[in-house]
Amino acid sequence: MPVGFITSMTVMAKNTGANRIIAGVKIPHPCGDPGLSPEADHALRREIVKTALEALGTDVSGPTVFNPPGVSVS
Amino acid sequence: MTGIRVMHYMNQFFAGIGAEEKADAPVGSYEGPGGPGKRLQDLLKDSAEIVVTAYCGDDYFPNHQDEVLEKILKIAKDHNVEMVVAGPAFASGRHGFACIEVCHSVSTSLDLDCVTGVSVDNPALAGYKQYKDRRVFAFPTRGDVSGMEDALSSMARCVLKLAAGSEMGPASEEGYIPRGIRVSTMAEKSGAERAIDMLLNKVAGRSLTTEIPIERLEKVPVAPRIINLQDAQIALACTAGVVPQGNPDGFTSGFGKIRKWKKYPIDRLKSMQDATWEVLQGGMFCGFMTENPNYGVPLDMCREMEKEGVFARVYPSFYSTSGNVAAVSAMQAAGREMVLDMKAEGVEGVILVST
Repeated sequence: MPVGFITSMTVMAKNTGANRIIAGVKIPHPCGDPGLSPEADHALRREIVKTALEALGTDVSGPTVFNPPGVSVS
Repeated sequence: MTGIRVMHYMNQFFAGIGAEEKADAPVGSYEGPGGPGKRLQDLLKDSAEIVVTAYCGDDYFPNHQDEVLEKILKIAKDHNVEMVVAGPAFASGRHGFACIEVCHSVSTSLDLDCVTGVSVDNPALAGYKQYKDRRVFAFPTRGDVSGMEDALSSMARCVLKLAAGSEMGPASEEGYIPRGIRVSTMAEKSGAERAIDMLLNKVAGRSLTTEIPIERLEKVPVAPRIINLQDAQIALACTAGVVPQGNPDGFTSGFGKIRKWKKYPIDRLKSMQDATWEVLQGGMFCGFMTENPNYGVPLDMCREMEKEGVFARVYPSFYSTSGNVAAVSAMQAAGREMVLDMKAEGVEGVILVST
């Protein structure tokens, strides 16, 4: 079953073997940012979900991190 | 006979009650040693006496756990037992689980030392490592009964040491499976010196022993990609413990060996904010997700994309569990069950969100 795994803990996700990892924003709100305006938050959630769906449609050979535009990777 | 009084717990098979057909046997006991307990008694000689053997069926135990443990504690108390030995269970998951639970219950309720034996890949070890009971020692065994003599020997050695009033040393010296309990000791060299020694060994290709072993998990096979996304049914899953307000199914956040999961209907919702939910995640600030559960279950966006035809359909329920401080094995079991359900329901891809 292909799984698009959204989490801000991308390193841990890689280490535990998840294959399609989508970088989430932060632990308390992976799919968006309450600090943004509602419109910007909504747009960010679109990018994240879009990236997750793209990951589901992508061949990978092992744990792979997909970075949605607008999600900063530290 | 002299020596400390020991209770030996086993499943129905080793206790001599019957094989798989007796897996539903309720708790029972008889005086003295039985099955492998007889050989164990030989090894213990006069220092310890197996005064009672308690048993329970492999299937009865998990289905009646509280009742079983209460009865076993009573058997131990009634016989003035001073130590408990369980198994050895080898690779058996059910027997291993029961042994670990019995040891945990006895050591915490009666403050007694407990010794058991399981193979190193027995799934019951997840509980053992989570409980971190200082008085429970599980020794590694082979996968099957061909390892019985070795298992009994190592367990007997431990019983004898404890019976003599000695303390058990670190796992690496005594041979038991580490619980993950950190004990402070004084080292001869400082951490900086030990780290440089390790680095120099590594660079020179010499062997070294790590002070902190990192657990490696199984490799997850890559699932093939979805070819036609526009025809696919996508399910949402979340491990943040998003549940209907009132938590009707009693989800917990925190230590737990059996992890629930449940499907909650979202077919009438355009957004998670069209209903009220709670977020059971004891390790983070839950305010944002409680106020807007789309942060954990991005339903609002999935509905828009469903309408736009990006994919065919959002599965009418989302899969919910609480992964907070959960045992890896419990979550693996929950995940496998969820996927079986998803496949039966025609789900072709999952968006899983974790915190």
